[in-house]
Amino acid sequence: MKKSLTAWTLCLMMTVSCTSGKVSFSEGRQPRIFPDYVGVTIPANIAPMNFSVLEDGKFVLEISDGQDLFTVRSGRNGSFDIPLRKWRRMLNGSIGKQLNFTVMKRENGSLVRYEPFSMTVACDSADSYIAYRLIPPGYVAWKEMGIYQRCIENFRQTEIVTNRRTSGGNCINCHSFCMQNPDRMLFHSRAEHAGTLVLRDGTIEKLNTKTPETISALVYPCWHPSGRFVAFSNNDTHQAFFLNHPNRVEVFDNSSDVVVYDVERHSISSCPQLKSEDSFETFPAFSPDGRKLYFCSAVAVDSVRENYSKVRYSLCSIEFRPEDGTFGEIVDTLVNARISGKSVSFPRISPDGRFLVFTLHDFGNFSIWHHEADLWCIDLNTLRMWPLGAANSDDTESYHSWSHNGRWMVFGSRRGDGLYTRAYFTHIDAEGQASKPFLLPQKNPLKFYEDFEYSFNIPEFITGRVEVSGLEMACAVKDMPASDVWYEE
Amino acid sequence: MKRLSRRFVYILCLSVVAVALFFLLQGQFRYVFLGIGDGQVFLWDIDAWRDDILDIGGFSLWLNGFFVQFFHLPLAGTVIASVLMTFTVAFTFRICSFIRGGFCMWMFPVMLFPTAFLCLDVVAESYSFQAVTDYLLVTGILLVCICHEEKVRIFRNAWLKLPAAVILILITGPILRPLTIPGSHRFICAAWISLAVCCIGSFVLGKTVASESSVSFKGKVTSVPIGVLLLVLSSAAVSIPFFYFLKKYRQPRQEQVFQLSYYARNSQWSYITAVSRRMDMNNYMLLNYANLALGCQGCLLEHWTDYKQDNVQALCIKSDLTVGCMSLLSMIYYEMGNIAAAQDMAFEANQCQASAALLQMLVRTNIIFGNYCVAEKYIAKLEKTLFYRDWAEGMRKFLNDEGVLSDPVLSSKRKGLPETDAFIVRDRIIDDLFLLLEADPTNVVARDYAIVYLHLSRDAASLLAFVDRFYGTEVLPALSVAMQMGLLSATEGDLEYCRNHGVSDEIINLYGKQKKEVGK
Repeated sequence: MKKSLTAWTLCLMMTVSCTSGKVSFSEGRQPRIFPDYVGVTIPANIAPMNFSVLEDGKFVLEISDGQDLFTVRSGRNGSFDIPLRKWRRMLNGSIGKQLNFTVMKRENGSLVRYEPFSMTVACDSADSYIAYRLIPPGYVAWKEMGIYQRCIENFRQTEIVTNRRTSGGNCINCHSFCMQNPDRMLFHSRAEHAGTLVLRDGTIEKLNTKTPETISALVYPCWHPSGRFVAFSNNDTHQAFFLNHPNRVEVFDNSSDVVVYDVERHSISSCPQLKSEDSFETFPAFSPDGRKLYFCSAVAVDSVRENYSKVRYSLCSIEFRPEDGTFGEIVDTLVNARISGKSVSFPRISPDGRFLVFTLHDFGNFSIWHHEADLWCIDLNTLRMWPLGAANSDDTESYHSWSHNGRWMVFGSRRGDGLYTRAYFTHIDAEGQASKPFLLPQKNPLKFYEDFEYSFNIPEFITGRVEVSGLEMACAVKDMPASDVWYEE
Repeated sequence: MKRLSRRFVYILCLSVVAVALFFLLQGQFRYVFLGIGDGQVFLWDIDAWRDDILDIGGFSLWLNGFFVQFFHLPLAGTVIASVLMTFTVAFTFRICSFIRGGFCMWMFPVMLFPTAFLCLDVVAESYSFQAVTDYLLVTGILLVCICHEEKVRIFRNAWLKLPAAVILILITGPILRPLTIPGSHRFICAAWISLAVCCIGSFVLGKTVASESSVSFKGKVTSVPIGVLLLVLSSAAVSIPFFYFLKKYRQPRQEQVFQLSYYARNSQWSYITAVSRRMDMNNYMLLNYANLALGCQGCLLEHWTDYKQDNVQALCIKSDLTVGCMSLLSMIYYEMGNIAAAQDMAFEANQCQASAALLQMLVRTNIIFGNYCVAEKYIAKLEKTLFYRDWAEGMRKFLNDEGVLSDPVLSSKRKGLPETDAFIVRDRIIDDLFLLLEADPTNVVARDYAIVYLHLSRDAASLLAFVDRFYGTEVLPALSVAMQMGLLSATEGDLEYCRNHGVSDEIINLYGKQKKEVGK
């Protein structure tokens, strides 16, 4: 082992000497880079992990897996644009191994070598696409927003639906996929052309989901694994801006319930446990076997605007019978807000049904504006819970989504600048432990993230591309008449 | 020689148009152009340029942004606009001359029609220069395609001519842009229709008129009086509808808002006060600017009655989510010390239409809150502009607590942030003003706004609460006569309370007399 390492180092030195000049002394430290990709775990199908050296000068990067290596020269601002084909070849040969990155700085005709850093190529690949909404982090006025899909194997982003095509002005939100299936999705259109658009195997349907029996149109969705049902919350949502608070805005519900929509019968139903006047129920999520419905529930308070900090959501579950769309009688509480003193949002269960990851924050339910919000995990077999320490930061971690194989999670975090949400990926091992996350790769990440003034909202893994074009989606939003759904007592 | 003289007349006519346009625009609409210039951010960034230009119609957007960035400078906007609009006349004239088969000077004024409509669009409807740039590019390409085809290789091939022209037009300036942007575009449509009419008219005239009248095929006027008559008639045909539409559709209120907002952006508060005294201030936005200027000069309490105002919206207009309104509110909130509300308004307005002034506000507010990473993002953006680069670079020194504390304005704004979890109350700014004054009793703008708000709202409960909380403190050492009267009314004549809170016996007597008179 030692011999092969020495041989490899010699080989590396010779290659560098031949190709790029003489390698002189080491800097004795790792280079300062953006994004921080040092020591991260990556899937074998990820796009080139381009980065920039945050130091002045011209640089050369060597990427090696112990057998092969190739070099990349830095472009403007010390950025490396790693060739896609070479990167793919190296990743495919390095599954389960480490990739070493050695940055060298050109100085007076020689190369000054920094300490190398590595990335681990996981044995588990991630779903090839993610879908997200791009929206400015404001909530009163907006000009352009849209739901996009991005192939994580390269840098190609295409639109799923944008409000630029729907005559502008309307809000497009809450996209959701059935078990990461790109052919089965839904999203809402608000304000102009209001309705819920449901895509099932190439067929689009527009729904008017407000009924006299529910407090609002359908809001936060989660598909049943069978694709027959979708659980939704109904929320009477308001927002208020702080005069002086680290969290600029608090979004709260004056009331909320959970209902289940039957895709085939166009009906919605609920039960007293999910529609209680004494509590606010929201953020439903089905278990992968489809027999349990998880949701968040808080004890209702008078005047939520005045008492917003007293509203804390517990994590609960209730039995669901997909055969007839009915509910059990007993509500289990997995995380009790009264005991924890914290509030739970966005329960998401791993596809194997073992882990449930949720966002934990001080109060309320709109965690994206809570700087203290972190991701936590529960082992559903033992009910032991722990923070996803490596994935969390000092700033907001919020909406998260599992990959199809349950080994990757994409989540939104504001750790970059405290305002703009970016998509991060973390590997979850068999014990439910997260790896150090990495930022969604871009062609020139430093420039991209410095200039980009949109948040990556609701990042969701999908196993492939949504094939229905943005134009078709927009036409459906604009022109399709909405079918009414009805409430089934 | 004759050719030279015709060219001379042609250039003379164009010069007359340019000068006339300049005097019209500079004399009547200079603040509109300053507003257009300050209503965008043009980045000197190769990557951004590449992305913009590669979009369909992107080159025209980019070129427009390039021109408009200079509108920020006084005079530059009107000079550039006059010159470019004159080019649109020249291009129209050249195209029509080519179609007709020769120069025809008496037709020159008719060729002003498209430009007249474009001008109306800029100064009376869209307040955007984009239509002029689009027109310039499309007519420029048409000119190259049809008039100079022998010089451009691609246009020599008959099969390539049409697709090449279509592609060029799509890339540079789509004629269909108005259809993709919400709002009224009657003048832009009129400009394109009048171009089409000019072209068709030129074609028809070229075919038919030559042999029948005193005007030759080549456009030579064989009879001078008829030529002059035609010139006068065609000039009148353009100018009469132009000035009619200008009078009918121009929006003096909007132009006044442009003027006051320009002064406000440059903190020229005394100019606002001077100008607004001459204006008919029957508009909340104008009153907001006038009150803001008084507040910033520290004389709101003395002079707010100079304007006729009877509603709290005169102080702080209710947001209608338009960029103009949100930008104004952002300035008002900032000056009164409500930094969170100022930031929110600036952010929302910037999402709708980015501008350097809004980015500057975002930089300042984020620095005050200590959100240095976010502030740096906006600083980096401003550093890529031509006219705000120095300002942005200068703000870098405030990206740490020591820097902020060394600056008197930023540090005082930070010290004035209320230590509370309270929400902003947009419908009742008095609630926020209470908290701002509790946090910083030396905040004169907030104090003056609060007192004027109490006068305008006639809100007895708030007046009592204000006097209760602040009388005898630095905020309210004494009550004005109007406040004393208001307090007597609010307490329904509770003399002991009033005497304890600064109401003089003289006012009590006056109040008693007035009450008796009203009773009679």
